[in-house]
Amino acid sequence: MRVILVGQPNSGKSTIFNWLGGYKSITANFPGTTVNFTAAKARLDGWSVEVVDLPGIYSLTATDAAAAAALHYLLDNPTSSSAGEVLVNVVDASRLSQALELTLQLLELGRPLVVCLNMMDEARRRGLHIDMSKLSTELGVPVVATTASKGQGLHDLARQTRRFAQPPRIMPPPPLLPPIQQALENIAASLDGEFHGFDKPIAEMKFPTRLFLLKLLENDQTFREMARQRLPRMLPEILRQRQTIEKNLGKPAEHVISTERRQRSKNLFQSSTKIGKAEASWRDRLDDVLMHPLWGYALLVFILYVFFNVIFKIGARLEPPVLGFFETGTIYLQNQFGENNFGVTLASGILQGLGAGIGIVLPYLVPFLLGMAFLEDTGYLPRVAFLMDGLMQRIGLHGTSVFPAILGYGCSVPAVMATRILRSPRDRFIAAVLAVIVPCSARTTVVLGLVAFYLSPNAALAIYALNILVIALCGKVLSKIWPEITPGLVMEIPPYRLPSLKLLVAKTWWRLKEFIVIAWPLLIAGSLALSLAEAWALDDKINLALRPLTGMLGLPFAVGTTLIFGVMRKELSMLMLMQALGTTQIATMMTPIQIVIFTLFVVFYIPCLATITVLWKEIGKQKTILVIGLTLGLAGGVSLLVRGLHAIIF
Amino acid sequence: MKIDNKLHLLTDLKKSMTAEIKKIADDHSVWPLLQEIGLHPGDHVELVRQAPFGGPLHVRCNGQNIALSRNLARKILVETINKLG
Repeated sequence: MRVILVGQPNSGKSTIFNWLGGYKSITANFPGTTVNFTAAKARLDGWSVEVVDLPGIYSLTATDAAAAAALHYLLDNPTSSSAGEVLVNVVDASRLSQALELTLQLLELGRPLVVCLNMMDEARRRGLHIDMSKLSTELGVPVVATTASKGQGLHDLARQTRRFAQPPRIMPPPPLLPPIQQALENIAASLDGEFHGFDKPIAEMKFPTRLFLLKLLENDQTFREMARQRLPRMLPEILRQRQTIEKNLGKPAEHVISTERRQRSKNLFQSSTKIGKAEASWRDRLDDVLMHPLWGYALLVFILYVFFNVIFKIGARLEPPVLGFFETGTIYLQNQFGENNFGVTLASGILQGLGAGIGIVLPYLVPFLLGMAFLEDTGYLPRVAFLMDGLMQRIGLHGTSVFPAILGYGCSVPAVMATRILRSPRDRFIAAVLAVIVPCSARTTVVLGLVAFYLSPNAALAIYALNILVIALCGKVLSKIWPEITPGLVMEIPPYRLPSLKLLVAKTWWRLKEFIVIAWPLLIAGSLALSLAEAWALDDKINLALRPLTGMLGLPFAVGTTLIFGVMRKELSMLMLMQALGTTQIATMMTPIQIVIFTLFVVFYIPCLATITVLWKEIGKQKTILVIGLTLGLAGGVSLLVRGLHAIIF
Repeated sequence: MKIDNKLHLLTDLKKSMTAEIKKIADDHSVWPLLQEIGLHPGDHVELVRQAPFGGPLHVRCNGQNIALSRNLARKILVETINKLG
C-alpha cells in the first residue's frame, strides 16, 4: 500500500513523514525546501506501507519546478487499486480557509483521500474552533486532527488512513457551476468515441477526464501540453468554450473556476469553523523588532556576525590539530618508506585529500549547516528575505537570493545547492554565478594568509569591499542581459517555531551527505593528482603553458602550477605557492602588488572542482561552462584593472 | 494613484489599514501566483508593514502572513474598509 502526503508548503508534511517513516526526510520552515520528494518504507497501524512525501503545492497548477514534480507524480503514478493507495492531504489548520482550495482540487483526482488537519495548536492560538465532524460530512472524507510537532493525533491518523484504504472509498468532487458543467459536456460531446465518462480517464491519461477538461478550460499550461501531445484535435473546441464563457460571464474561464472554488472553500470554512479571539502573540511582537526598518537590519547584521564568528571560532579550533594529525601521518610514511617511493606518493596524496576534508571543510561546514538549519527552521530566513528584497532587486535578484550569497561565505558547494529555492532558471543562474564569486572560507584563508599577513588587514578588507562591488556590478550586468520576466517576490512568512534538535541533525546530515558523496571524492582525487604531478615533475611544463597568463598579470613564472591546483582546492593555491616559490616567506619572492594581484585572481577565477560538480548537477552543463568562462574573464579583468591602476598611480 | 472614487492600488494602503481585494490584474504571470499564495478577490487584506529600499509589502490575509513585491501589489485593486464600521 502507498500513502502519499500532499499539502501546502509548511503544513508539516515532512514532520508527519518523519514520524511515519523514521527520520529520513527533512522539514523546513522555508517555502519550497523539499524539492525532491522522499519515500520511505513504514509500518502504519501494523501495516507495511510505502510513504511518499511530495513537495509542497498550493494547487494543481505547476508554478515552479517543485510543484510541477509533485503534480506529475500525482497525475502519472496511481497504483492499481488492488495495491491500495491513499492521499493524505496535510493541512495547516490555522490556514484552513486557504488550504481547503487544494483539498477541493485533490478530490478531482478521484482517489481515496484523508484530510489531516495539522498544527491544531496554532489554530487554537489564532482562535479557530474547527468542527471536525461537520467538515468531514461536508467534504465526504475523513478528517483527522493532529499536532505533528508534538506527536499528537498521529496514531489516529494512521488508523483512519488504513481504514480508508481497504476497500478504497472515493468521494465524487463537488458540483460545478452550470455554465462550466455545460462547457465540459460540450467538449465531451465533441470527443465522441474517446469519452468514457467524467470520472474515467481519457487517451492514455491516468486521471479523471473531468479534471483534465477543467484544467484545459482554465488554460493550464501543463495540461495544455498534454492535450497538444495526445489529443490535439480537441484544442479548437476548448478555445470555443473558453470564448463562450468569457462572452457570457464577462471574465475568463480560469477566473470563473477559481472564484467559484474560492467561494466554495470559504463557505466550507465558515460553516465548519467558529472564529474566536486570537491569543495576543509574542510572535507578532518579535516581528515588530526583527522586521523593523532599522532594528531589523541592525539585528540581521548582529545575528550574521555572531553566526559567522561562532562558525569560524569552532572551525579554527578544530582545523590545526586535525591537519597536524594527517601531516604527521604523511611524514611518518615518508620516513618509513622513503620520499621517492611511488606508493608513499599515492598514499600521501590520498591522506592529504582526506585531511583537507576532515580538517578544512568539515570543521566549518558542520557548524555552518547546523546553524543554517536552525535559522531556517525557526522561520528567520523568510524575514531576512523580506528585509533584503529591496536591496537585492537592485542587482536584479529577489530577497530569497540572499541565502546562496550568505552561504557562499562558508562554502560554495552548499551555496550553489541553495539556489534551488529560487523559482526561475534565470534567478537560479544569476544567484549561482554571484554565490560562486563570493569568497568561500578557503579563499578567505588565502586572503588572510597572503594579503592580511604580508600587507595589512585593511588591504584584506579592501579586497572584500572590491569583491562586493564586483558582485553587485555582475548582478546588474547579468540582469540587464537576461531581463526579469518573473513578477517579483511572493512568499509566505511562516510563524516562528522552535526547531526540534532531531530534525536539525537530520537536515544537517542530509546536506552533509551531498558534500561527502560529491565533493570529497574529488578533493581526494585532486590531491592525488597533485602528488603525482610533483612526483613526475610536471611543474615546469604547466608553468610554461600558463606563462601567457602569469606574464600578463605580472606574476612570477612558478605561480602557474599553483593556479591549476587552486582549481582543485582554493586554499591549495596558497599552500602550493609556498612550495612553488620554495619558501614560506612569500614577501621575499613577490612584491606587494604581485601578492594582491595573485590573491584577486584566486578569489575570482574558476570555482573549485567540487563546486563545478555541484553546478553541473544544479544548473546543467552549458551554464556551468558559461560560469567557468565568466569567472575566468572576471578574474583576468579585475586583476588587470588593479595592475593597470597601480601602474598609473605609482 | 487613484483609479476611481473607491478603488486603490494595494501599494497605496497605509500601515495597519484593512481593505477588500476587488480586482486582480488579468495578467497571465500574476493571477496563478496570487491564487497560489492565497490572495483572491473578496479577501480582506491588512497591510502590516513595508520593507525599506522599495522592498516588499507584508500583508495579512485569512490569518496568513504574506510578503509581496511592490510589482505584484500594484496588480491588485482594493477598496478600503472603515475599521471602526
